[in-house]
Amino acid sequence: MRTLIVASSLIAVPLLAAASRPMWSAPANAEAVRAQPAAAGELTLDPVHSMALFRIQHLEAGQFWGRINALSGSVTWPMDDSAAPVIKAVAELKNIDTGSEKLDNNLKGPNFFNEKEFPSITFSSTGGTRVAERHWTLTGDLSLHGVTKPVQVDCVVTGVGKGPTGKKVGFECMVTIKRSDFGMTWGIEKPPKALGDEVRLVIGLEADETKAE
Amino acid sequence: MLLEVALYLVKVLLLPAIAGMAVGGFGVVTVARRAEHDRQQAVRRAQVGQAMAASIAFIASFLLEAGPVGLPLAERWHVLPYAVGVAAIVGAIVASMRSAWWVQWLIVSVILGGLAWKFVVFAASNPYIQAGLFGSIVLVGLLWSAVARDACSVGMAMMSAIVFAGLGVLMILANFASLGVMAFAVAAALAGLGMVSGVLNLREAARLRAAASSHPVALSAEPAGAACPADAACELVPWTAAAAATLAAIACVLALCGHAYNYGEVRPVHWAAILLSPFFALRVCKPCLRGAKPIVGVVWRAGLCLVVVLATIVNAVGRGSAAEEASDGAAGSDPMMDMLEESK
Repeated sequence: MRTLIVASSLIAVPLLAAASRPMWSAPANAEAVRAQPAAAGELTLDPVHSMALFRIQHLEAGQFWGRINALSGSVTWPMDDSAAPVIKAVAELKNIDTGSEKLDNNLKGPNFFNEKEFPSITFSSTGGTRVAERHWTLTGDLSLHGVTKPVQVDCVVTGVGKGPTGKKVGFECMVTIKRSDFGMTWGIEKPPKALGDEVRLVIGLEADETKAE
Repeated sequence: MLLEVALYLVKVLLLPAIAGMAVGGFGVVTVARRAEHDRQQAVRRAQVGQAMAASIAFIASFLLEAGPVGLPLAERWHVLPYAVGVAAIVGAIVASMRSAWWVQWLIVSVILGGLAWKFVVFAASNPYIQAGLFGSIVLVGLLWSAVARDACSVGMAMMSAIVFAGLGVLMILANFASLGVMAFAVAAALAGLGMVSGVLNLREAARLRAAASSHPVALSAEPAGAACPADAACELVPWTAAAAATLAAIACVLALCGHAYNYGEVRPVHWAAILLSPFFALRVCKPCLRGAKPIVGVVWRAGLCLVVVLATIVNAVGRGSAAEEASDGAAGSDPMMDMLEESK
């Protein structure tokens, strides 16, 4: 009898353990994953692989692209996509890169970003609505040139991968703003039509899972 | 596009300059039309216009270029129209006072320097920079006031126009085009004022000559050493120290603003050289100009000032070109570019 109890315990313990495993480890049951959301993942932006591209029309002709390198900040997003990502990103304007140092300096100057007074652009999302799986429309506050305005950002989770130090999550966000709303008016009317008013921002983010200290 | 740019320049540069010139020129014309016996009182009032001309040109250009600015200021450099407006009012009040030149300089410089120290604070400022602004307003004001004692109205207007034009070029080199255009508007207003003064002085000189030929006693109205332009009898509205110190204060504030937002290769020494360039015209030619026509004095003084300003600009442009070439060299050593070159 004692032998029977020991034997049945040896079988029952692994079975019970298997039954109590987290649901996300059962790949076949996707709906069940949503029914029981996992804890929101705290992610830290990887500045090397996070940047913002901006696009603006030049002299009513070509679309000119520039970028701001090394974005920093954090993202809170449950890996099961049960809630919208909460993004807090900071773009330091000293990292503007258009491929021309002269143009970089011009953009940093008071005719445009006025980097000495407003050294960074920040975005903090405050909520979001689902568009599709891993695709959200985020609402949040964009601070640029000393002005903070609510914006809607189209955000796609581009993938969840594994890096040397843990999970990595990629996001691609797009938003179009009018720079005149943020008090950057040089080149729209004065001088006339030198640069467009609409600026499209494409933001590529890569975030690392934050390890508990 | 070319037409639109031309219209833009007319709007933000030429119209403000005409507005500024009109105010200053109105004063000179008013004096010229006065009867000789009550001209002295009118001269003091006309000197208010000299202090106002530059300020009106700057403020009009600022409003047309950057738009109206409210309080609190959205950006720190938007304090400029307020600062320049206050400078004009202080300068005009002191210019209309009957006092010694050094008293006028002292009052204007200390008041405007103190206000600038406290309220004109640009990006990345600190107490040392603010104290430096006060010191430069006092010292440059002293220099310009001293020059105003010597130079005729045409020479003073031309020298200050050259200085503001030089500051405008430095601002463009510092990637601050808006402020550069505003400085050009001030320069154009002062040059215009100088030309108005010049035309009226020439007419006055012709009138004096005619009077002298018909009444030889009138020659005694010409003081000893009359060839020195500021003392010439034909000088209708000589510059006061107050107006010169006001212009100096505005120039110092604009130079500091250009330096504070500098994203080019412009160095502090460039701003300083242009602000101090009238020094080279200070009394340099007074002895050698005795007996010469007033125009010679104008050309000498403005010419010496222009040489310094041009040399400074050439140096600043050279530094910018050297930096650009250096950055091009760095781009050439990009590993990705090297790989592409090798794959050809």
